[in-house]
Amino acid sequence: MATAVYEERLERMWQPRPGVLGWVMTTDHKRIGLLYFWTTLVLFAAGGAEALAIRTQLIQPNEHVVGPATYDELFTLHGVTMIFFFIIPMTTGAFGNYLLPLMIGARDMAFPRLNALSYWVFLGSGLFIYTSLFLGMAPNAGWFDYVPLASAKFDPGHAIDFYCLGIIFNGISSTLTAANFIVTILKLRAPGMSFNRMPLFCFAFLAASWGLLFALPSLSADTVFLFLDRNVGTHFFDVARGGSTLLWQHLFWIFGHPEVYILIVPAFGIATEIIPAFTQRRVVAFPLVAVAELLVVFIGFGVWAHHMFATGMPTVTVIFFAAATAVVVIPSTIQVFAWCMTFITGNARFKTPLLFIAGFIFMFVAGGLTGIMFLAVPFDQQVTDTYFVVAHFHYIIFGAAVFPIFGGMYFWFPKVTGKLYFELPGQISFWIIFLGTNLLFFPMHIVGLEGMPRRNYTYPAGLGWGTDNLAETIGSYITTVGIVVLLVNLLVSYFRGPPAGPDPWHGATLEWTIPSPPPDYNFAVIPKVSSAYANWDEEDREEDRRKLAGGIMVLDDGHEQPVSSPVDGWWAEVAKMPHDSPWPILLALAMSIVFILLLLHLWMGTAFALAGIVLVLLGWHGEEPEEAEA
Amino acid sequence: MSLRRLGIVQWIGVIVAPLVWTAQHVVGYGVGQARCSVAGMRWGIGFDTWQLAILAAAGLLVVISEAAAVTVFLATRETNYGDGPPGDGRWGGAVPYSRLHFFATAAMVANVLFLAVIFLDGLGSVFDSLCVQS
Amino acid sequence: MSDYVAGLRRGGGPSVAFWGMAMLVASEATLFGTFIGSYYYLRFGTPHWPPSGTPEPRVVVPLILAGVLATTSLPMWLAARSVRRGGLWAARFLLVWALVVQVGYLGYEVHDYLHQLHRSVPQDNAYSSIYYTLLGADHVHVAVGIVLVVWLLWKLLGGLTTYRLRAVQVVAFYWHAVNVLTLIVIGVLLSATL
Repeated sequence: MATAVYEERLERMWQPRPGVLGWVMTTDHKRIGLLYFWTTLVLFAAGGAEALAIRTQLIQPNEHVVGPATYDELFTLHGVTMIFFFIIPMTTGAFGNYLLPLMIGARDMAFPRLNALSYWVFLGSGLFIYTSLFLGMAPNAGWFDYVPLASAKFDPGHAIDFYCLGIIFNGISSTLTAANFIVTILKLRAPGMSFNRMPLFCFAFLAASWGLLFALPSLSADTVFLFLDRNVGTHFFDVARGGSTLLWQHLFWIFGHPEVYILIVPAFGIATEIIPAFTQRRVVAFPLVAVAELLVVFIGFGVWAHHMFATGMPTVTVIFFAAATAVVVIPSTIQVFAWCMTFITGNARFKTPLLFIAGFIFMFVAGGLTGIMFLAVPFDQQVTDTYFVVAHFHYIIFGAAVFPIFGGMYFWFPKVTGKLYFELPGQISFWIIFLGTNLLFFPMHIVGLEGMPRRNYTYPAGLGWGTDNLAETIGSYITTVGIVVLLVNLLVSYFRGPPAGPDPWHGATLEWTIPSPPPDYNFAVIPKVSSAYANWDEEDREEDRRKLAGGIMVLDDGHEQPVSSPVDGWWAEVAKMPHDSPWPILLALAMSIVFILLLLHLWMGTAFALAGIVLVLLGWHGEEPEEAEA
Repeated sequence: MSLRRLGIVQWIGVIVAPLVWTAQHVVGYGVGQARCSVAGMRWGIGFDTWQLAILAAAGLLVVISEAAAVTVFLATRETNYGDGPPGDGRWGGAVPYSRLHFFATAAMVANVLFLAVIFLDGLGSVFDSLCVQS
Repeated sequence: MSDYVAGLRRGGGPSVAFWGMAMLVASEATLFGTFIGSYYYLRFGTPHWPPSGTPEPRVVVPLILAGVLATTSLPMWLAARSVRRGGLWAARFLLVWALVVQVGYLGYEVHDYLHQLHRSVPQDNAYSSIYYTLLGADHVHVAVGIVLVVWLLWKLLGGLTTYRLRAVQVVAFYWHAVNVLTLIVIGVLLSATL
């Protein structure tokens, strides 16, 4: 059969190197996605262990499980790990990398080697930060690391330097990923996929990527200033010499608020693909959901000082941020309404992924309601630094980011592994996690309103907080059990699950048109796209089969990938993509050396290491693609 | 209206409001920061004048932008899309008409939101007493 | 490529390489934006700017030099145009012209930076901290641009390919961004004299 001939040619062309070398040198977005997935799970376990230690310390008043200094390290690392080393890399690095090219009908990202670099830099930054823990000098001033507590005067030693450098290092990984996603989404969509025919998942990742690109520089500037203040003697944050401690907070939250939208928007994207699959209905108000995803990140850049309502800024300044906070709620609400209407008017089958999405909507609405309350400045000033805030953001983060991640793991498990997961343990895992997280986070609202402060390693008896804290700690253990059930279910299913076939759910998007697991080249024939629900367009899929049999649009003359125009998806040219390469891991290694030398204050050595980076870059760009046809 | 012109009007409808609100938000915050800070107190900044002027300019530009979005929306409603029914909920239709319609629909809603936040920003800032700590 | 595919081509706007450089420029411009925002935030909070004891920046020479650097946008733009038409020698000449001016600019600026350090250091106060950091960051971006032009000239020794053509175009774009950035940064630093 002609189809098999072409598939064989493509398979040979796109085959990776065998063995470990094939993984170390990979530029395949699917392999990179898997590397991110496993690394992130390990770091998730670390962040979870930190959480359990915190909860165990707080189980009753005046506990002595850990001392105050260790407690500070625990909640700092917990926040840093969960945000920078779990959610961002899991959503963008794992889900985004694996699925984006598949959803747009592409064979890889726009910059495959840069993609690999993102992963190795991410790994390096994780090792860098966790080395601090093993050396007994973990960061300890909170994930937001306010000055003057984080200054050299009050936090001498290397702990905060690990934080500053580690954050910048990690930020490089995310910036590269964001740039790669944006260019991929704009230029590598299958010809015919104009913006209005792009899946909502892609809109979500486009929004998150723009957010990362524009937010991370603020954090980089902030941590550069702090590193200079601590190690070189500058005075950015030193009030006595004209600096400002609030400058740290402004720059941090100009990053920090968009960051929290970046955390949840990819998860919105996951939810917004699971819903059509399990309701067999197109999402209601498609253009509004698409623009809402972009708007929530965009307007989210203007709300940052609502994290600073208790710092004594003038009311005329504060009002700008209260106003923007009021309006930023609306795009999220539009999405929730659209999803609920899709549920109601569709044919909902509550398989495990959809259960997690239902849980997500419940918890996101709950967390969003408390979020709206914060825009009232007088109320905010009462609950700042209490557990009410902790309750809010955990409902949002766990509810709106982690639940869709879990749902997504189940949803795409058949595509990635070729096996079906076991449904009953899946449902059980959902209910345990759902009950556990509500038991864990709901009482925090109550103790918060009763005045229990954040970031305190213990609390006195006689205030009536003991019962709620006990319930929360039990909730944390229950949640852990649920997560273990989930992971064990996926592991066992990997070895024992029944074969899934290409399309177990009759999903809407292009990844369901190819085999499970996908071949190295993704698409044998570049797909024809007429809508955002390409897998439901039977005629187009028929035409693809005919084309493949005739060798049309197969693009098998090298590692070929079509490039199209950004807005309307007109065909532009055929690009030749790079394949396995040693340069990404080498560059990540050279960058790690730079950061280690900076930590050790070896400035001359740093200069040499930077020269080394230039040499690696020369080698990287020594490879040129085969000449494209005129 | 020609396709090319329709495209330009569509981009006006999409891009202007976000840019304008960004400018208002940054400049408005900056003017407040300057006026109520140690050094800026002596510069004679007419806070209310600035905020109301920015509000008026921003509001006008967003209204124009909304008009652009509505124009494209109406112009692409009636078009025969060719390879797919336009109002099927598919948003599939012939490109670029379906793309124009899609962006126009999105922009119509977004511009209203931007108008709302521009008014809240501008009116809110002049409502309170100047430089009182929150 | 088959006729079917060739018949579909409509033209695709800027290349993938261009978009990649646009992402870098966007990120770096935002970084400078936060530096500049910090500059004014600190300024608003400081009655005397620069604080007494710290010298005001010179106005005329830095402005002229920034203007001279900005003129290199012309040879860079012309080089990008000439490679599109296959004008290899013209491109090499234009790149060398740009490089000479850029290196001369950076050489003088580094000398001047070190000279200024004799009179005030970043460790004096917040003004000098942000001044030297902002200025230094701009010089670093100029230095990177010089490395890119040298690399281009080295690559072009081997002749012209589509890849190298795109390289010249995106490096030219980088330089336009750096030139605009330098003008803005110098303007910000000189605003201390107002």
